[in-house]
Amino acid sequence: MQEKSQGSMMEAQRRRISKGPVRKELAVLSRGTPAVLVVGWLALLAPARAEHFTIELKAKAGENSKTAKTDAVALGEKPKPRGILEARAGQDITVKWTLTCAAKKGEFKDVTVHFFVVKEEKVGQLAVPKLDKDVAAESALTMDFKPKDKSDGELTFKIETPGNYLLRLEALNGAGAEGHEHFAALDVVVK
Amino acid sequence: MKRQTVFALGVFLFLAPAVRAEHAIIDLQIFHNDAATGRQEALAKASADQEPPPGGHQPRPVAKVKAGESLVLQFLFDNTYQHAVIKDARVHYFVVPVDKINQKTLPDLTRNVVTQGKFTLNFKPKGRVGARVMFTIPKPGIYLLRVQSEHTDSDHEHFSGIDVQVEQP
Repeated sequence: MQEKSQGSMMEAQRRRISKGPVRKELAVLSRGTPAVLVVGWLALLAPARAEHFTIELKAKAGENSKTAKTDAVALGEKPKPRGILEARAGQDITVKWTLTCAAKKGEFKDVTVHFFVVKEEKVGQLAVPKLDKDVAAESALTMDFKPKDKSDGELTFKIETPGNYLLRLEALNGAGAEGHEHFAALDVVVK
Repeated sequence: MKRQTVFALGVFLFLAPAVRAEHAIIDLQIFHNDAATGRQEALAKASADQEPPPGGHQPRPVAKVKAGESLVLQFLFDNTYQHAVIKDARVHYFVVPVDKINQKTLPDLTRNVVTQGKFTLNFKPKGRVGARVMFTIPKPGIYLLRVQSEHTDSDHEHFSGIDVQVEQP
């Protein structure tokens, strides 16, 4: 029961962020505003977004390693293409990450730093799978972030079943993060 | 009057460990994982203990599993210290071989570790760290599954542990 509720809590939090009021605002704006203004606004928004959090993530499986850096996605934007880490079934995979608050002022309260590795249908898919099954590892922590505050993590785990997996670290529910998610992600192909 | 003072002191000393124990609530569990159905069956559960003394006060529960069996560890570690943010605290979990059940000393954590992870954060009042990780233990023996606080700048640390007895499949 408890494991289910914990997983669904994280999933619900992810969903809450993805349906947040700022996103609805963006959707309304894009319907009634000339495209050039929207594009201009998004262009202005992009550098500001990148300043909230920076993520450095490195995953290693034997001799193979891949790194991922911060991505930030709002409505209608495509995330950056993900790097691909190849691993053998049953091989140790070690992930290290650091998430740093890059904002110059203010405080982000109750940020959930969420990490997971979940099976996906294909490499590079845009949809984030539900976390109700085939989750090899998942972690979460809550913290308030002031400028330059950081949190880091390191986990070692194995994936026993071959397939494609999404490995993702995301900062959720940061009050003041203006309706977009900061994350870093890789695809893991297990053979 | 003297008798009352002695009684009050006694009550205080009796309560002191319990008050300290309230700095953290830990829920640590181990599950058998059915890879075919994804269903999980709870094998053992442990709550918070503290060091010193080494190994804590409580005997650890024992989970009996088979070598190579698909397992899941899960913990939730809640900071209930209300008075300040604990800067750069660490929560560390691991599965490591030990010599015997309820061993009080920790083995070398740089060798033969089955799985481990650690998180560094500014631990605020009511802050929480949790993880859920699939793992297997390939060789029979006695193992310790443990999650613990580190670097909390306190005279004690909190932990929770489960002994895992691994038999031939």
